[in-house]
Order: sequence, then structure tokens, then C-alpha cells
Amino acid sequence: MKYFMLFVVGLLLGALLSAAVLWFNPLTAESPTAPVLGHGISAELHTSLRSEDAPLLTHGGERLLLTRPASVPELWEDLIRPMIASVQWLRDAEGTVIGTASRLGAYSRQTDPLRTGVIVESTWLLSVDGAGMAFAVQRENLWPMLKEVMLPALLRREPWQGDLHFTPAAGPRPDGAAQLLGISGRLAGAEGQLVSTYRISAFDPRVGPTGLEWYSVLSLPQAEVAVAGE
Amino acid sequence: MSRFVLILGLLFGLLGGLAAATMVEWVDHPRLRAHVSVQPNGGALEQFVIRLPRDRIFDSGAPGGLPARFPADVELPSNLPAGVHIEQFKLRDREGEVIGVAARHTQTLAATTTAAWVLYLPGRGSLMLHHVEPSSGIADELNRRGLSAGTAWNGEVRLQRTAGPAVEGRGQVSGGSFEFARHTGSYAETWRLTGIDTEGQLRGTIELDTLTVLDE
Repeated sequence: MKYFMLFVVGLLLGALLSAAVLWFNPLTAESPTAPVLGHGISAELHTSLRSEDAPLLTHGGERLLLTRPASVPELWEDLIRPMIASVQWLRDAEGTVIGTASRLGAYSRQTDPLRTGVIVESTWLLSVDGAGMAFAVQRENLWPMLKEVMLPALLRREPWQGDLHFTPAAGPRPDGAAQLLGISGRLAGAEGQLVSTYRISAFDPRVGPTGLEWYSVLSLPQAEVAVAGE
Repeated sequence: MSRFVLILGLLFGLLGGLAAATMVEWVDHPRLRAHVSVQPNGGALEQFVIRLPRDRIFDSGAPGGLPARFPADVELPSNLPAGVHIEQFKLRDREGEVIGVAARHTQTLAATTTAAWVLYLPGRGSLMLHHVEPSSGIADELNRRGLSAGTAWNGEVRLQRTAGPAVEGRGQVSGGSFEFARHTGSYAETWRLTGIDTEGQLRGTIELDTLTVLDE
């Protein structure tokens, strides 16, 4: 009996140790180096969760994330309940709307607390004013943001306020950037990259993130764009 | 002996915890069997369907009010870029089951209107499509039939929306993610409208017939 109790105590200590390993796991931490942007054409795009930047935000109703507008249909059907759909206005550094985006995404089956982190897979449809349209496939590891902001706020049941930046780039390009594919206009046929940085300033454990901004850099190789435009 | 048993338990707990963390399927999207038919000369046919108005999620509204903005309480900035129309829909398979969400953008540049779709199916990945629109938009086609915003109408109209760049006026399939990452091919987009209400909301179906092959 004594040895059984000792084994159980060891088992519990081991389980706690594994939780600590997962919490401080360097494999799922934010990469210390952001993806390197290629030479060529680049554009900075800015958007946020504010109603003037995100007129549509909907999901299955079970997420800690507000929906907008009030009468928006929920994604309640079984197969689409894990999804988030949004429409974003994209602004330049001066705050002028220079484009629009639809973002469709869901937690990825590649989520693994030991090896990859909490992965969200999104596909963007971007329309940049005067330049054309592009697709972007993006994979992001949200674990660093969950660990630093959301889980502590949820455990304490207190709103969090601060100013933290995260670059959760996790692919699908080898350098971690999102894959960009031009469709029309000056972007037609070009393959490039998209890198997003999140700035989180407020999180409420009752409604989710209330202060969240994205700064994305879209980058395309000059040569391919020139060829496509010829 | 006591120390050995304690360390053995600790190792079991540590390794068991880490193994469970990586072996548990944390995200498991349910999926239905895809209704795909294989062509004798290569390629896979799959039809996606959108039922209007019930599958609408968002519509930024077209100039002239057809189709109208949806939801009615959505707030759009006054300085939106001109010539852009954004729609989002729930997406069904040919049997009518909701299997994903679709986003559709159109943008007019240098007198050419391009439309692009992202079809996002959580269990399978995303499929990216684009095509050149016919010279007249949906609103133009409806206006040509004497229909305008504010007037209810019942009838039948079939509108082929794809006019290239693939062969036979079909649109282009440009890959996507996961299951669709290496898919290329073509598609046809057909709107079958059976009515419009006084608020400019369309009734009918949108059909996307894709023909895809694996890009070697």
C-alpha cells in the first residue's frame, strides 16, 4: 500500500511537471525572429476589432468573442460551428480605408500543445483599392497570446489591460509567413507573403478581446509583378 | 526502494502527460462524405450550392440596391473603396447539408470586373476560385429585365456569372489549403433566381460546379 501511494504521488508530481513543461515549452513559444520580408513591392495594412474596422464578426456562438452586428446569423450548423467569419476594412498608416478583406478560419487539426501550439488556420480574400485582389492562406500559433493574456485573465476573472505585441506566424511558408497569391490587377499571378502582428490592449473574461489590432505587411517580389503587368 | 517507486511514478506521470498532450486530437472537425464524381478523362466534379436568402451572412450591397445590404443593421463606412462588393454565405453540398462558409468579392479595375471566392470547409481546407465577370453585373441583368430595388418580382432567371479566364468561359481554381492545396482546374458559377422582395433581397440558388485535378 505504501509503495502504491508513493507511485500515485510520483504520478501526480510527474503530471504537474508535464504541465510545467508544456507551459514553458520553447517549441510552442513565439519565434524570436519574425519572417523576413522579400524585396519588391510591400504594403502595410492595419485593421482592428473595432466596429468601424470589422463590420461583420460571427461564429458558432460558443467562443469568447463578440459577434457583430446584432442581427448577424450565427454559424450554428454542426460542421461550421468551429468557424469564425469576419469582414475587415484595411487601412493605411494614415487611417484611410485602402482595401477590404474577408477572413474565414477555424482552429486547425495541427494544434498540438507539445510541438506546434494552438494553431488557427485562416484564408483571406483581400481587395486592395486600385491594385487588385489576392488570396492568403495563413497559419498562426495563438498559444503565446493565450498564455500571456487570456488564461491569466480567465483564471483571475479580472479584465486585463496592457500593451503587448505578438507575431504568431506559423506558416504555411517555411519562414512562417502566410502564403499570398495574387488574382487580379497589378497583383495578378504574383506569389508573395503576408505577415501579421497582433497588438492586444484589453481582454475582458466575460466577452473576450476588446482591444485588438492587426498590423499586416503584404509583400510581393517586384519581378513577378512586373511580368504579370506586361 | 521507496525512492525508486516515487521516481518511477514521476517518470510515468511526466511521459504520460506529454504523450497525452501530443496524442490527443484537440481539434477534430466533423465532416460529411464529399459528393465527388470522377470524370473518365480525369478530374473530379463537385457541386457547391448556396440557397438565397437563408444562407446569406453578409452583403455590402451593390450599387442600385440589388442585392441589398445585409444584415440591415450592419454599419459600413462612407468612404468605402468604389467598385468593390463583398458577400459571405453558408455553403452546402449538393445534398443541401451545410458544409462550410464562402466569401465572394468582386472588384472592378480598368473596366474589368473580377470575382473571387474562398470556400472554407473546416474538415477539408479552403478552396480558392476566381473568374472574370460578364460585362453586365447581376444588377444590370435584373435591371434589363425591368426589375429594380423596391419592386417585388417572382419568376425564373438563370445567370451564368463566369466568363473566363479558363477554357469555355469557366473560372479558374487556384488551389487552397490542406486537401485543396494542390488542386487546380475550372468552375462555373450559375445564379438561378426565382424572386426578389421589396427590400432587394434575392431568392434562388447559386451553384458552383468545380472540376479539379491534382497539380503534379
